[in-house]
Amino acid sequence: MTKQMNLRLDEDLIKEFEDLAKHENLDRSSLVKKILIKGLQQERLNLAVQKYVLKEISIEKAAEIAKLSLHEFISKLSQLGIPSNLSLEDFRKIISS
Amino acid sequence: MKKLVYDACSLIYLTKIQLKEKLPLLGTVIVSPSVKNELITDINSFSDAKTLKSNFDNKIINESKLKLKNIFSSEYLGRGEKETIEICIKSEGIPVTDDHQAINNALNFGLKPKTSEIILLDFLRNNIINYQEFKAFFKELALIKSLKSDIILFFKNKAKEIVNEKKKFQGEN
Repeated sequence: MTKQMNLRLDEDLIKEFEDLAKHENLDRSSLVKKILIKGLQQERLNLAVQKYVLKEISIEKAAEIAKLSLHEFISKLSQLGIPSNLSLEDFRKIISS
Repeated sequence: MKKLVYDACSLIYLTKIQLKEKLPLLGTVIVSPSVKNELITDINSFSDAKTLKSNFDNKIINESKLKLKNIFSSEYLGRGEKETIEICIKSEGIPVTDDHQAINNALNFGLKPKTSEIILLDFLRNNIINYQEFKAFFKELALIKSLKSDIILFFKNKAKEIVNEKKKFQGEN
């Protein structure tokens, strides 16, 4: 099911959408939809990685926010060179527990 | 026999460095139902998921049969991580997790968690792998987890301590 959503955009931005849509042989609306879907996925991933790096959430929770399987999320972290969120202090605590 | 209850991220890392088959040498390998689901999702896209699925079939990894009641509700943890901690509380298990939030929750419950790096040290301590193998496995793990240099140095020193203790022990006998 689809719903209508109205957006007010700058004329220049609309022009950019129209130009790109022509190049991609798409209508303007399809292009905007495509970019929105991609942008939303990227934004979810950015938020998940940010919260994970700041140790606000666990790796599994981050994968859930990113709407990725844990295999995919671990692979993304590795590709982006994001280090494990465990610190030296964490390891010291574990070993002395 | 010790019960080691793994969460999904630790098992994925240990699968990537091809050490998972040796895990039963340290204790029974247990996972929660949600962790099992996470591990074998994406079976068509990730070879690790395929390997893990066959380990369930061969009983190298065992799914916990405990009835879980979601005893704590942390919004910062995933379901698998919460279940892992709950199983450990109920069955005196040792949680294995590579996550900051999960480790700290486990410590707050009085558990003694391990990480995949510590599992590697346990392999070395128990003569399951030798020092050269430790170095090779650890190098791979450090790469996959993008470990920071202070952590790499810490574990290299810990491994050397274990080797020296062993040499000292052999010298005494």
